[in-house]
Amino acid sequence: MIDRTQSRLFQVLSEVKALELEGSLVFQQAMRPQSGEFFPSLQNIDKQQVLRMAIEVKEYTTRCWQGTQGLRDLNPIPAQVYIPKFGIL
Amino acid sequence: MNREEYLNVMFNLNQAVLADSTALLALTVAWLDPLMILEESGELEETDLTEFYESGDEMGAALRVARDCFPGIYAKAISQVRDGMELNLVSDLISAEITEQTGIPIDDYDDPVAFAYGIPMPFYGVDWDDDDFIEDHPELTDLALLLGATREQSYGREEINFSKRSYQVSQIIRSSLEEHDKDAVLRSLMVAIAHITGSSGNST
Repeated sequence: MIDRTQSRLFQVLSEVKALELEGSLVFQQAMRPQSGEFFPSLQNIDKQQVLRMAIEVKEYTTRCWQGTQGLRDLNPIPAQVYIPKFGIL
Repeated sequence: MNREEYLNVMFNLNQAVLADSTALLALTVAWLDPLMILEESGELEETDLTEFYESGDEMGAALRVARDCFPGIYAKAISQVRDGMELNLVSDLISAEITEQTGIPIDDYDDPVAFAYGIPMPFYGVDWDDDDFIEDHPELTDLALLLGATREQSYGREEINFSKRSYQVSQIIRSSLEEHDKDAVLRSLMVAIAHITGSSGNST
């Protein structure tokens, strides 16, 4: 029987591999862990690369937003139907 | 905690974040698109340009427009803020970058919250509100009247009034002339109609 519980759904979603964006790779390269900064500066990064990363992240956040809005608007459906009169589970 | 201990904590924290792909993804979004996170978490008081105008938030409006139209400039502006740029200079930076990238001169506007109307582009085109327009441009006035515009009195002067319908008629005629652009006369007419019914201004 398929496990349709909330905890199983959470487990499935948490096992989804995080998306690898160009911005994440550049962030790793530009980060100076011992500098005390949380975010690297964009000053030394090529302008065209900054543009590519910004567009990619914006598209990603827009997709996330659309996805969460879609989930929010879903009508609830019964995960289990139990009709004792006919012994249906 | 002294400086060295603080930097050690930061180092360990950063290492942990860089090693965790989900945390790294979240940090990348916070790095390049913090407005989306603030908006999603309900931290932003203004979420559309009208609200930025009402609150007088010049930087907020400029960042919003940059995010919508020029993501690279938006990311650069956010980075400059993190690097210590004064907040009242952010809209100037965005204006200068847009001008550099597009050639559109947008640094000459009076309204401090001009970005709340979109990109503060200068006005180019036919200025029907010019007091001497009818006198100075009789040929354009005649063409406007042929397209359904009307002469009206307003505040003691005569002006040309384009109704929505006359604009629509003009656009339909202009579009229909596109397929005849090899005919010099019809092409001139098409350009003339486009000239009197088109203008630039704020847009997003």
